Amino acid sequence: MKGSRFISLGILASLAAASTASACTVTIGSVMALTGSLGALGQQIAEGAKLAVHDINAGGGVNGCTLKMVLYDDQTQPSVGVDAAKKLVSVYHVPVIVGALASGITLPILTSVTAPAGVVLISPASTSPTFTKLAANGTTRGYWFRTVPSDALQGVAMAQLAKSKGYKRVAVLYLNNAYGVGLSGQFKNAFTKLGGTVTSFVSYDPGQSSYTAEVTQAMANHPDGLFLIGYPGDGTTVAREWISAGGPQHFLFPDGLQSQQFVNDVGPQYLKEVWGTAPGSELTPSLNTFQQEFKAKYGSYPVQAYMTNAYDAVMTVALAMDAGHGSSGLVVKNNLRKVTGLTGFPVYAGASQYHHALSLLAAGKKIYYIGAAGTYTFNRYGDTNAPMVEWTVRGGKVTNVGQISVATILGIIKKLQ
Amino acid sequence: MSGVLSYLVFFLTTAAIYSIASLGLNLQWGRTGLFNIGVSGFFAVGAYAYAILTISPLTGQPGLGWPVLAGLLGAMVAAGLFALLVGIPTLRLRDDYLAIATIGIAITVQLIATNEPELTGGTNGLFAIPQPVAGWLHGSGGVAFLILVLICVALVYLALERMIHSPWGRVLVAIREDETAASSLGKSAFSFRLQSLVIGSMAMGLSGALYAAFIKFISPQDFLPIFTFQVWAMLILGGSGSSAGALLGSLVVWAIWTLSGGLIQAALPAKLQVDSGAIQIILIGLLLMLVILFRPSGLLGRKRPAVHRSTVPSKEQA
Repeated sequence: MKGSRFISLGILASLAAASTASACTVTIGSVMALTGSLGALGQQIAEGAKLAVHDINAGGGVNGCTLKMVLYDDQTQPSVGVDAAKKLVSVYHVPVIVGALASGITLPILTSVTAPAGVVLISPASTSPTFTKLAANGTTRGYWFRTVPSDALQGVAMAQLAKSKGYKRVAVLYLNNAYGVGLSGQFKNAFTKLGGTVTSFVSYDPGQSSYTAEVTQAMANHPDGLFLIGYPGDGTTVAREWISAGGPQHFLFPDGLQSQQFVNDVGPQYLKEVWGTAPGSELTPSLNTFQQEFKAKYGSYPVQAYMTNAYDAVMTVALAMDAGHGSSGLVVKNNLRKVTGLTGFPVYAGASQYHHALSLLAAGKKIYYIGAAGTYTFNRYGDTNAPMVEWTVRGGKVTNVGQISVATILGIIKKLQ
Repeated sequence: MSGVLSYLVFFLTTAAIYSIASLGLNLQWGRTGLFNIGVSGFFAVGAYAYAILTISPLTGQPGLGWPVLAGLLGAMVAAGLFALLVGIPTLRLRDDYLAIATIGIAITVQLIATNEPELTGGTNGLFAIPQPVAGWLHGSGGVAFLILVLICVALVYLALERMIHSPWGRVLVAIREDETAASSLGKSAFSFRLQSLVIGSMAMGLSGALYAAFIKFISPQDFLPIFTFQVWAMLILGGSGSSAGALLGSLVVWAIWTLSGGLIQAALPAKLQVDSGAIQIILIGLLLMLVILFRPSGLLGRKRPAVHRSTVPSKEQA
């Protein structure tokens, strides 16, 4: 064990030495919220993307060149994000932009900058169903991808999970943004068709000091439990008010609340019965690599959603450039599907695996990347399917307990139609 | 077209669109003294009106498919009518009270946009918004649209300057400086204030419509109060009361707001990249403060401050 670690360190060291020798640079861009309402999330997600850049360069770079990522802040403001994207495309001539986070910022970047310019936009966090519509009507020209599944999948997975855990009457409290509206609607539709009842369907706006009115409304009609959609912060306030108002302490949480911080803030003693969903595989070797590398670099384990998706976005883009022997937006667009999917030789996260992928590609082999957040099967609209993790809170800790496969979810969707 | 030039066209288009809202605010605040901090609301009404009037119903969205010119005019009319509607009850308020009422109105508009998906697309927004002169000067990277926006800026500028320097415009200043005196000369302060609010808001509506046409997608996230702050910063920094100041201020503030990002990117080591956002916000604040410190009446503002210093000691004496 110790020996193998030394060997792998040795490989890494030699790779690093090799990569510093490269003279050329491939520059990609990234637009993320580093300040503003999503700033706290965005800073972590950006670290995930930067870790991938580090691994790629340690593993031999892109087509022998050093990969560089220019990161711009969108201030969680669409006009600023659009300007940043335009700057990246016009001044830096980037072929790819990784971002943005909020759908309300990613969409204008897509329609006004990247799609007209033939630049690939790949978002690790934008889940709005509007993207699929834009892709279907041709606006995206095929230059749009996301490494996070649309809300449609998770809504169905949660409905299935709730039903299997014996819930018949569920109250839904959702954050009033594209994420909350999309996910809650999908859940309501699927859960009703599976025979359950949504007893109340209440939205809440972010940043309020109290949610008493919303919580009272949601508690009407005697629900068995609460499906709360949101992020830590406001989500904590809502959950605490639900508990103090005497609502049943049976909770369903989506990926946005899969956070140890959230559990600690609400109080683990109140979260004895929690069932959650989140996109991603239960345990891939890539997730382990990502977590260990992140810990080594930043001193703590990554605990937040979408960081792995950002890492994978950068990795798949780099592999697509390698597979297509180029670094233009067109090359990335045409090769992203060739380095993902479910067939060929699997490659995982991390510098040594990236190096392995390069040698496989050089030998003319078909590879597929198994990322830290799972496998990717991009359809013609740039959407990806992902399995869902089932998680719960055990002994006060967020714990993954099972997985709902893509096939199962698609089967349910088919049955419901 | 070279990259930097292409970015410059994009930058100028955005700054010019902002400057139209800033010109409208100059009429309201700079000339009439209306403390409107609901700019984003009137901007949003214009943007949504344009989008709803022009989007093709074939996209499956709430749209009427009108020609773009009708959309632009419709957006101005909608914003004007909206200003009339909110002006009648609120314009009896002055100063801080009007400010509170207008910020409430802006937030109301944003909440309606969020919660009426049948009309506005809700949080998912409206897409496939048609752009005027799209495809003209093919391959010029948006120069045609920039020219259109600049024509709009010129028209709004000339129209407002004519109004400001007419007897009508002098009444506005009289009301701003001393409403009681103006009323005692038989001028209905309420009526003039309402006219100023409506005309200024029409400019804001046009600005919103051009923004929607430029970006081709809008959602409630575009109309947060930060936009109002940006337009105010543009007017104050350029010089409140001066139309030319409003134009210059838009250019300078938008440059500070966006170019500082590039500056910081170049200066910071990669390790601190993630903190660049926070540093940029600090830099924006610092630059705005420096300008206000050294040019308190703005870059092109009147030498004389809006509030007469002489009136303050006289009150103390009394």
